[in-house]
Amino acid sequence: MSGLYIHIPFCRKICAYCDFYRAAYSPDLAKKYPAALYDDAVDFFQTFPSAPRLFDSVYIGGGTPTVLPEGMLADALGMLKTLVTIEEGAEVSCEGNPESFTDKKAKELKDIGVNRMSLGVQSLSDKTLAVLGRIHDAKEAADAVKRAASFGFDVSADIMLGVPYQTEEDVKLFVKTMRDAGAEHLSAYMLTVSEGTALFDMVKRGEFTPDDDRTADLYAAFHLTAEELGYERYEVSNWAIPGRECRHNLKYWTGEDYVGLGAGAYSKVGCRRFHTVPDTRAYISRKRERITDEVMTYAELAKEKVVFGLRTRFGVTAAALADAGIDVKELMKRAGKYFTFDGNSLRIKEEYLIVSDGIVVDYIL
Amino acid sequence: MPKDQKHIRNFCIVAHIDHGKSTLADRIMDLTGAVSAREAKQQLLDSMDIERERGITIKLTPVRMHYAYDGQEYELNLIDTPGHVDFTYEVSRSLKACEGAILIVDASQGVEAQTLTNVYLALDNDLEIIPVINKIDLPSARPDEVKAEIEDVIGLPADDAPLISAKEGIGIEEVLEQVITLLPPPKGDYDKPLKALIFDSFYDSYKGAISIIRVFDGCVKAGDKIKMMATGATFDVTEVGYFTPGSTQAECLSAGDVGYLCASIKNVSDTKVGDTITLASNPTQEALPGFKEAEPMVFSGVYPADGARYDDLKEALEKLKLNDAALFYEPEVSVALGFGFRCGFLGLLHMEIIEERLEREFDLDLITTAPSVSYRVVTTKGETIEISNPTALPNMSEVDHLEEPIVKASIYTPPEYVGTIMELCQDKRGNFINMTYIETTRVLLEYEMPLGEIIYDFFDSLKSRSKGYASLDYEMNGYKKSDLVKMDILLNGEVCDALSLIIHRDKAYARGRAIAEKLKDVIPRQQFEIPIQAAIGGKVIARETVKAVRKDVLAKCYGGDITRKKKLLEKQKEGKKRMRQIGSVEVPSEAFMTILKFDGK
Repeated sequence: MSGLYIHIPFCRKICAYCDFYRAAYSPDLAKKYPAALYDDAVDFFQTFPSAPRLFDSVYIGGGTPTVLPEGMLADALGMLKTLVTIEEGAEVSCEGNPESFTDKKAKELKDIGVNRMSLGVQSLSDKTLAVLGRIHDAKEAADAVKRAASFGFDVSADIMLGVPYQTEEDVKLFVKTMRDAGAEHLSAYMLTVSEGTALFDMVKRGEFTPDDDRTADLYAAFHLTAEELGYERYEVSNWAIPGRECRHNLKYWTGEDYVGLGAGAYSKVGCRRFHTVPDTRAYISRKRERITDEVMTYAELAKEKVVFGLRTRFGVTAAALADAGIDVKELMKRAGKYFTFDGNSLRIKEEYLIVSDGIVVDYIL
Repeated sequence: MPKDQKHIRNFCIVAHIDHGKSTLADRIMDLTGAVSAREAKQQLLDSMDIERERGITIKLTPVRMHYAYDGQEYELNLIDTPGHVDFTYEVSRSLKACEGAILIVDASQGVEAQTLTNVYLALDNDLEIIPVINKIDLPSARPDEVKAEIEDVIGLPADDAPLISAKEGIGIEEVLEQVITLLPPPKGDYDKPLKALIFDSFYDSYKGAISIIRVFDGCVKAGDKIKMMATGATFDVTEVGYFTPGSTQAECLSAGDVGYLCASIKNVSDTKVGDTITLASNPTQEALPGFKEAEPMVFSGVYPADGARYDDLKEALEKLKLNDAALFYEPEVSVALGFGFRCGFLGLLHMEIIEERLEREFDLDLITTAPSVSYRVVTTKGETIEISNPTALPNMSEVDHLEEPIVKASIYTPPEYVGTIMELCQDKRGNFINMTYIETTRVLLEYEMPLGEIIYDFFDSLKSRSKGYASLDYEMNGYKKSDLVKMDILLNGEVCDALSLIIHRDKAYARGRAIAEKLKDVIPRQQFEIPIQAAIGGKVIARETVKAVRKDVLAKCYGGDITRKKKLLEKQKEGKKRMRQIGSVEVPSEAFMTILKFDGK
């Protein structure tokens, strides 16, 4: 099945680590955004007639979708639903930040069919949150998770690992607090300091030194605590109470198609990957441009499925390996240290997931 | 028809690097109309980029110019000479082609080691020398002191030395006037059998190897059958001519002339610098003295970073060799690096130039091993073998002793650096020979030193210890028995042959430690821990460890931007491709040079 991604690029404040496409929130731009999304969708399905129109997952991401004024997401979804079908029982996720996820917002989202909230908690240390440029504190974050759970959403909470001031205790406390607050899904993203972010400047000024070894320790502490509390790691950066895995997120790693709408949104349709130019003003004035990232051959697509499938707990099936022209026996002989193969699925051993890029580069690519 | 030699002047310019040789050459050419101002690129004689960047000249291109003086037209042949210690022999052959030399001395720097070396070479070749003081436009110029220096240090009268600024074009006429009035004309004999000196050669893809020659006796023209006296090879001359600096065909080149000769010669190794050309039918009795085969002093393994480009490297070396008889190479196989070549060079500069040309002109990525000198191995059976690759060293049980090449080094320095330089020389196993106060501001230190120490970090250390003021010159001075050992480097327990080196026993511990530390920094962390060991004959003398990588995975995917992630993985893959697999360990190319470069004090 396929997924629908809707990008809402607006943020109240730009975070210190973020290199996603986002723009400062402006009421004027936001007002015109729903109609622009509809226009984008019309053009999308005209341009790519083979693109899927039936979805079992929707992901409203950002930016910060929860900054949009009331009614706008409803407008957008309402219009889009005249073009696409969202399956009964589909997973409909929305990203949000604790400070803009109010009771009112929760109710609004619930009403328009959102059933899963992914909240950017990032840390439960106020000191760290301040450095990251977040505009909420630890208490607000925990409250937002509780609120989401109480409204009946499936809740996911994000944390960043390897950020300034973070200790293993912080990480453990995060997992416990989130579990107690009702989050049944956790995403832990190890920090990558990208050029052009405030954090990059901090590093340049010598105020913070990223340390992969430390990040690895924090990751291990996170994983251990999460497992103790009943979460299972189903992908390098994602943990869930069994059954609460994010269907949409997995599509990225398993080679499913997804339709991306919005300024800067990425899509995969068949063998083609492309994105819309990340320029909100142009987008709103219908001067969208779609850029092809790559057109893959069948063989490349098959290889890609293996490369990214190995990030997941489910691994890659023997059939998928055969498609990609990978000789499992030979691979196990060369690299049995890093992989398990049960006759049906090939997986990277748990302890090597954190170095899996290197393993994939060495043995699969 | 015999030519009137009275109006010919063959001369060269000798100077220390940076003292303005090329600039003066350009000015002289401007003045004689050899180059129109539009054409006059800066430092015209330096035809190769790399040399131009380094501000030194290696290629010798004689230029024929005409200049009227006192109602007479003179033919001036300016012969350019290389200015680096690696090319002493080439310089000496070029000097041989001249009757006189302009000696440029920088008005603020004064006489330097190289100035002296070149002056002595010129005097050895009986050249008349005109001292010229350059860069008088600089505020730091001290022409009177420099004049005194020339008189005291070199022993040349410098009272009438023109004070010039080649850069500003000041005093150039005076230089030419002195060239004409003070330098002697050639005194060859047109009626004698042909006797011509090859003092350079280069390869032209249409005409073959072209010899740059100075005719001493007789004459040579197209159609003549010539004989190379050192090799005995004969060729039919197809063309003779001279450079203005573009090539201009001539009827003949006769006694006193400088020019070029083409004879469909396929290889520059048939036009050996220093060889004498004569006529096959009417040979001269005696060759010109002083011919030497160009002998490589420094050796290094040169491998394509991408093993698949071995043939490209081979072709590139063949092409360079066409133009550079001093370049030596032979195929070599390394366990670590695969197929490549052991190359021999005149010195470190020559090595760097060749390596850079291979990378730039032939677009090759190279892995080069640390330079080595040629050692003599005397076996227990009493045989002597020469090895230039440490891995070629026989089993030590078959070795009676090892000998290493020794040089006599002359270092000129202001007195305040004498202490630290002596310390450096001591550290480099130098034997003190002599110290001379040339004047109050300049000291000559003479040392006998192993060549192997000179090529390892010596020059850079000398420059940094003397804040750039000291200069070095050296000449070969035979071989000496020495307590040398072979040091191996083991990566994850396996010897990496490309990192082995021969070293003096007293130096082995420090170098072993330094190399292990450096390798630890350049070898990236991998999936497992990698011990790095330096060992002599199986005994480990230094050890470092590269820890296993702890994190190597990118977490987030930018809202479905899988392409970006794939590109990052591919980049990682590319990075690994540029590394060499040594056993189970991936080693980046620069690791092989770490043996040479280590942060000297």
